[in-house]
Amino acid sequence: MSLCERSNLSGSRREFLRQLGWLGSAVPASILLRGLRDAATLQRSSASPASRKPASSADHVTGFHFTDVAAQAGLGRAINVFGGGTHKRWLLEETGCGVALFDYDNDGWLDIFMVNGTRFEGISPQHQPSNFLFHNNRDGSFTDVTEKAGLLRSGWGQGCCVGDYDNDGYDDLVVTYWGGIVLYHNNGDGTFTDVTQKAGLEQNGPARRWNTGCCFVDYDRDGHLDLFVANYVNLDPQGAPQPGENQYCRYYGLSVACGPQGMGGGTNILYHNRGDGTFEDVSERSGVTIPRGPVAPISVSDQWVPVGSYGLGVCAADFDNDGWPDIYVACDSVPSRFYHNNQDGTFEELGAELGCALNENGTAQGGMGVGVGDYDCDGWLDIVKTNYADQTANLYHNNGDGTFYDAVFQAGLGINTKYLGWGVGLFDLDNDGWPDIFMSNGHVFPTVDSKRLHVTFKQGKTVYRNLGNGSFTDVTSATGPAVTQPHSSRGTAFGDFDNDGDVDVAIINMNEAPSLLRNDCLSRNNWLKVRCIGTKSNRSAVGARVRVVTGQHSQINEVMSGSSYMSQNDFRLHFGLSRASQADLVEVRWPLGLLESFKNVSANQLLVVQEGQGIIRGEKFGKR
Amino acid sequence: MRSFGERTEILRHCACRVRPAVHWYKLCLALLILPSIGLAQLNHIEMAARLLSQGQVDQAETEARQALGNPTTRALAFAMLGTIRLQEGRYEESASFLTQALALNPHLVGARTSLGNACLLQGKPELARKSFQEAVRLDPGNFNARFELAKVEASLHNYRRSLDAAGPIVAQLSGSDDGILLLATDYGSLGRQEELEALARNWEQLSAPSDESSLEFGNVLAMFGMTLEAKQIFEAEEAKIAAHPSSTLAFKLGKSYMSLGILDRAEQNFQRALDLNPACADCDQSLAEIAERQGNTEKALAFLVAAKQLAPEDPEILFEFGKVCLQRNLLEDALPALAKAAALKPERDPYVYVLASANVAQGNLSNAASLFARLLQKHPHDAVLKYSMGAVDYLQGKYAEAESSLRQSLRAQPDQVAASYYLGLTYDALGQDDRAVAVFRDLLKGHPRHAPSYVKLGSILLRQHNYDEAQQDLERAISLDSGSVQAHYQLGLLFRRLGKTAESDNQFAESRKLEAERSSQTDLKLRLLLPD
Repeated sequence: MSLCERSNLSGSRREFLRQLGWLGSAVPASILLRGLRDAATLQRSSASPASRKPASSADHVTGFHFTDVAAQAGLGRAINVFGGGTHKRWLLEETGCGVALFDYDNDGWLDIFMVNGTRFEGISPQHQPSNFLFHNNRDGSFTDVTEKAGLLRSGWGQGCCVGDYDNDGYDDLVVTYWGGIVLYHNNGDGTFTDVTQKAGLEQNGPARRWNTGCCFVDYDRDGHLDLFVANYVNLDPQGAPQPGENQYCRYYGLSVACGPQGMGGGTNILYHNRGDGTFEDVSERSGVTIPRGPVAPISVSDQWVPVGSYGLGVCAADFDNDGWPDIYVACDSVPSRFYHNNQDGTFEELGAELGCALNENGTAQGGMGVGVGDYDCDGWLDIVKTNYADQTANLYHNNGDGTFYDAVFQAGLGINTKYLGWGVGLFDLDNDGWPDIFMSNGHVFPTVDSKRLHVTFKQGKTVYRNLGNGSFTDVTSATGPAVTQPHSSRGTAFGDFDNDGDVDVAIINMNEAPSLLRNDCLSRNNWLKVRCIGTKSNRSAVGARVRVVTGQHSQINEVMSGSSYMSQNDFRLHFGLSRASQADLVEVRWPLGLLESFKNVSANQLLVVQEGQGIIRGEKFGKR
Repeated sequence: MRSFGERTEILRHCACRVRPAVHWYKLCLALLILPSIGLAQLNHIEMAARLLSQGQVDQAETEARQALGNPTTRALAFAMLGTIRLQEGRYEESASFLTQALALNPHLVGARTSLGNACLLQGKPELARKSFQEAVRLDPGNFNARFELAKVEASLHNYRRSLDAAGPIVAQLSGSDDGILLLATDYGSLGRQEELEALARNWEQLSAPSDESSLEFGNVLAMFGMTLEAKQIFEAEEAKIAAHPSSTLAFKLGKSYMSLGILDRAEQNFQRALDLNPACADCDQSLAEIAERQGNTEKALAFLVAAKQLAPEDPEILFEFGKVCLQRNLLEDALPALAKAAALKPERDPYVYVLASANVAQGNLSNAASLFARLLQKHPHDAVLKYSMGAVDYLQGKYAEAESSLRQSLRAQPDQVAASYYLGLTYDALGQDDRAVAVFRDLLKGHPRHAPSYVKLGSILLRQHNYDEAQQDLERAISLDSGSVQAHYQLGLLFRRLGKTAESDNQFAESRKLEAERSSQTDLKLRLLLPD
């Protein structure tokens, strides 16, 4: 080593600091602050293939543990088909499908409906992929009854939602597509009939509409379920730019499918139920068409100005406790939409003004799925939204005055930005009385794996346990390998498929078999499920608000159609009671306003309540 | 001010140039000193010396080895072999031979001086000094020994001792370029300005000093504040170089002007050097440095791209390239270059720091944290590093750790805007609103124009329903930074809460407009397009 070099190395601390200071100016805090704005990037998922292991002591800390039982339940052959497996040419191949957990035959056990997609190439006419309906055999297994039920159908299936639109006592099904929607009337005998045309729901416009998330909602409180359908992008694959063609078609140097940036958005739809089995399109006069998308597909290569909805996950609920349901739409790359019900058949879009459209910095994010629940048990429904990669999720805390603020950092969710989130739910997974958060994740570009980026195509789920103080802790790694097993997941539905008193999760995995995560709730906490049956209100009781009080602790939940990512959760409302052996008070506010309350309700049962009739029965569940 | 290392470099260069002549001179002296040497053996030594001076090294060695056989000439023979090895650049062997020579005859002054040079060239200045000291002790009138001793003392920053050693030969030194360079360093370092000025006058009297010496002298003068005199020397050299173009000299002249801060002249000379030698990566790098100093990072990048193509493994070039890419948001180009530079020179803390910063920019926070942790192990109390670590902890959601690091940073260096700001953000994330408010209020007392703090404070106060103060803070933020999306958005929310719909709509509209503008700029993922 020469004298010269040694002199430099033995440079003073002052010199080091001078260099740091100078370099600090070259790398100012603005770069670090930009990390705050843009959020930290993905870290390469190091999850190894799932391996079975018995519950460890760590699981008892979380109180719940998930096991993927899809294969043994007979769901292994329900392979999702959605666009190219290794390369996606168009945006349409990225969105994936929804899933519904609902009891189509009213036998008290949740069945599973899985939407399916298709591909532009490589599908023979004889082997067109179809949606799936699996009947619950009540023993942990399911039987494929798709064909028998009359639900075989191919196409670019997107989402689904459930509701008894004709109040005949059997929940009906809507499936959304790129190119239309399908209303299936539940015939009550295990079969469905496509009544789309008969119901007036055919979409006959010049361009194919990209229908995505949907929900049934009795927005005008006439006792009949209306239907809201979000629209995403106005897409014409033939005219769309090719991967890599412009800046909106590149991702970290990769040529990828273009959009939604650079493209025009869709326009949301509201169908009013006339009460006679038919619907009328009231989109315009209701105000849900704001913002309206272009009539024809458009594409720009720079200076994109968003026009239209870009809606994906939707959920309707009474956010301001005025007894009238509002509608929330998670939107991609633009402000999400909050349609406030004006109680006169119209809505006003107030997302940005109310603080639930953007993040705290006023920036739009890639909104995908919506979970609704009261995470801090203050009596006001909050919203959790999943977003695109390199972004935090949102946890919009309902301030109780009609406004929200994004509490994602305060709640501890801001630590994870490495996932691209889709399905999401606020459900009490350990029955401690505080709703937890479950998110399904997966990237949109399979080609990210070809480059050593900070993201991967397949990703594990994330699970946050509610600490009961307004914050959550990430317990993903402690809830079982099924959770960390990487997939490119999309639709996610929550419900108790095995009727053992906890909340399980069904997940669509793009181009793979689904996951059915059985919750082996290890805590000895008690619970209560409430099933509401409307009489004057819609039969599904969508919009019924239930409050459960145990001691000083009060929880609320609402029967909702839709939500998560283009999916449908169990209509039975689940409440964890912790150690309480009874609910001191169960209060039901029916959609049309009737209030009924019941005291000293025993724990660990399904309470079936009928509007105006009170509790009509209680069904004891138990661990199998 | 040139660093000590750089000055040492100058002196070492002087020694190298003088070395061959000195060795021949020393050998002759040795021959004169030694008695009782047989004529035949002395002839071998003589022949070896003659052959060496003619550049016939192998034959010289053969002759020297012949003289090894006779005990009376063995010492001289070893000394001759040591000299030959020195000439060949085989310093360790040279030192070995010379040590053997001195073991046989400690009075070989020339050998001692040569040994000192061998030690110097091996990077052992302390040993060299001992050899030179002994040579001077043996022969106090020996010019070369004194000169070498003075130089090595100067290289060890012992300027007073250097002058003491050079004392008896100052007059002679003042008449040569190398001598003036040494004295200038000593006088300048000891603040003896008058003597330094006298040397500048002496320099003017020198007949035809070499271009390199002139530049070096100019640099020394510049180092000690005699910028006018230095500039005159540089300008004189510039005129000479114009007549006899030399890339090396043009480059050195560029460096010289740069040390004076005369950037346009520096740029001209670097460009001249580059024109003469297009493969000069250092020229490209220096031109890049000038461009950067002028705030033209685009131009800097162009030069650094060229430098990197010429010297793809040069850590300094890689570092500079990566740094400028980072400044220009070319993260995909910055990271690999910075990572490579840090891998090549892991002991260079600034390399590691900037690499960590690039990882933060890219969002690779765990990588950034590891790198900052590495630096903190070496500098555990450094306020800037503590802040950096705290900021990364915050971005990773490790709020408790962030709080700790940021508080430590502020204890070490209280008035830090960024550290305070991040501490406020951390308290906000922890839900400790009151503490967050206190931190931001405190920050704003010292830095009343820090717009982001007003935004953050305003949004917390809005949450606390403290609308009046929130409005004041948000409006202040907008007055300082009218392009703040967040400020307009939060103010819009506030007006909405207050029922001021029109004002609310205006703010939201402005926020949306600004966000759209910001998005269109950041939509572009920039990447260098390098020529094929």
